[in-house]
Amino acid sequence: MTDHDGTPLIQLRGIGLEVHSPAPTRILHPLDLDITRGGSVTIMGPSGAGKTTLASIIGLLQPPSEGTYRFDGSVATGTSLRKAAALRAEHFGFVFQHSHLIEERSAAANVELGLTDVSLSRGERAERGHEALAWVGLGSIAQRRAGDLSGGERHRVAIARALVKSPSVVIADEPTAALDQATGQVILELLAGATGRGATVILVTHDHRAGEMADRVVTITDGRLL
Amino acid sequence: MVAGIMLGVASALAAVVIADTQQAQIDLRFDLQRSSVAVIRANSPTPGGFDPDDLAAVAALEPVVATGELSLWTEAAQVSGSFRSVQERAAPIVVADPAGIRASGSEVVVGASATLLAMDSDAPIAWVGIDLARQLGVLPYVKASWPVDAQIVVNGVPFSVAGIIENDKGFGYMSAAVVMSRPAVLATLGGVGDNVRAVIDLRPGSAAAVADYAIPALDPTGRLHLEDVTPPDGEKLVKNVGGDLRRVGAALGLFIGLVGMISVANTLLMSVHQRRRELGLRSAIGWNRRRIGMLILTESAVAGLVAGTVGSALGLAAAAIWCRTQGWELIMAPTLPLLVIGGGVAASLVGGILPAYRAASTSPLTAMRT
Repeated sequence: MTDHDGTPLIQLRGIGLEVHSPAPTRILHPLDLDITRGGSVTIMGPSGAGKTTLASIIGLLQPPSEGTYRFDGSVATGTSLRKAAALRAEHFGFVFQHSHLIEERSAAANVELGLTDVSLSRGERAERGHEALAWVGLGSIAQRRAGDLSGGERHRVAIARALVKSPSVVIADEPTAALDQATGQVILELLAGATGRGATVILVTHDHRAGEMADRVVTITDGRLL
Repeated sequence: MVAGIMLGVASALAAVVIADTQQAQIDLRFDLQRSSVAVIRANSPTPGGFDPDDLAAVAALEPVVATGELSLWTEAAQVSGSFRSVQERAAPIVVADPAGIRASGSEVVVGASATLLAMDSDAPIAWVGIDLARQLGVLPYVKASWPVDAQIVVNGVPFSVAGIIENDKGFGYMSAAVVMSRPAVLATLGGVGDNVRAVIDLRPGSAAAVADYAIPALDPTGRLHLEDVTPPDGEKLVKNVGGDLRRVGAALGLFIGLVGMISVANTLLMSVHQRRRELGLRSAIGWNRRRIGMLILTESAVAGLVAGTVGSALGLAAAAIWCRTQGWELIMAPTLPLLVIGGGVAASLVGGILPAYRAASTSPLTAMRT
């Protein structure tokens, strides 16, 4: 990793997205963006502005239609699906708006799902899962079924799942959208704390509290970076 | 999904077990209906026909009741009666000796005994089948009023009718034929015969073994080029019927397996659709396509294994109950349940291919957008 040589962890140059079906539509205008290692960045903007699209390109969930994306100094655009999956497995953790837990499995099992390294033993997986759950304050309910958890608990389990593999980047898409103020605050604090675990946190949100807690705020409107 | 495969496996196993058991029942019922006659045909007949000493050697075998000639000399000779009718008919000419008449189960119902066929005489004497006698008007054919001067004409040659013959033991054409001795046919009609045969009446079930012995015994020099033309006996029929039943059972099993496979595919497809968010999540956190596909295939195989095991037990129980109610003894190959379980797993795997492909194609964006 080119950690302290000044190279941004994420470097976007002329990145844009245009879809052609059903009709040609420009989702993201070409933009440049650098994100350095270890900080937190909040991407803000109105609905439909292209925040989630930008986050999904950064997270290698979707390829851009133009531009160059360098991750940790290496070109990540134009890579194969397999290579993109491998990069996600190694470097990215995701927290989705609806947490996306497997309802019938325990909180611990959901967290262990985030461990993509197949060489880990069952014991190592359990240990790391429990440690991540403890970090989000849910060590005592590790064996509870995910379907029985409250909204806030579900989001905390999702954060533990994103962090369990100690990723370089955590991307959280509207993590407080469906939560009350107090619970949302807890979630934002947990995500802000993730930087202390070595992760670069990218938050996509409408929540202005997230902007206040972030090292940097990026605003996007109509597919354009302001 | 498990229930679908389970039902399929249970049905397939029950069908095969019941088919196997039914085979045993058929074996039992057909046991006494095995062939009691062997037929040896000469492919290169000669005027001399079979040697009486050779026929006697075969007749001396323990399971043999009678051995003699019963040749179909020609299938259609022109025959007319001269007693009360001159209407001409096409009828087969059979050349036989007394043992051949006995071996075929034929019987002289009126007139002179068939032992006269053994006479080394070429006098034009014939016996007429009872049905042909009716058609030709060689009547009355009851013993009390048998006309000693009855005659028929065969291919223009007049024959004295010595008696009326009947067969209801599998050589039915004898009742519509003209029967005469070999010297008589050689002297009157000539030729060597179209279908020269030795018929061996024997104990049921021994036809194949006796025929194997009879071929070299009846033709030591091989000049007649003998062939075993014994009609399929009950044993062969049983095997054929059993084979048919097995094929029906197997086809039924395959059909049920196919339905099960489609059911698996359909259920898994629905499951994949319902789980698209989870699959999208797995894809987003870095699972590659192969790993996601393998996840679905593994789930499918485990479901097939569980359903196959339970279904196998259910099918066996159903077959056992059915056999008990029918009073049959359950017959089943010990390896059948394992084969059926293997089949269940295989069907599940095949049925899981398309859903696994669909699952593997789930975009990681699905997690972000749902």
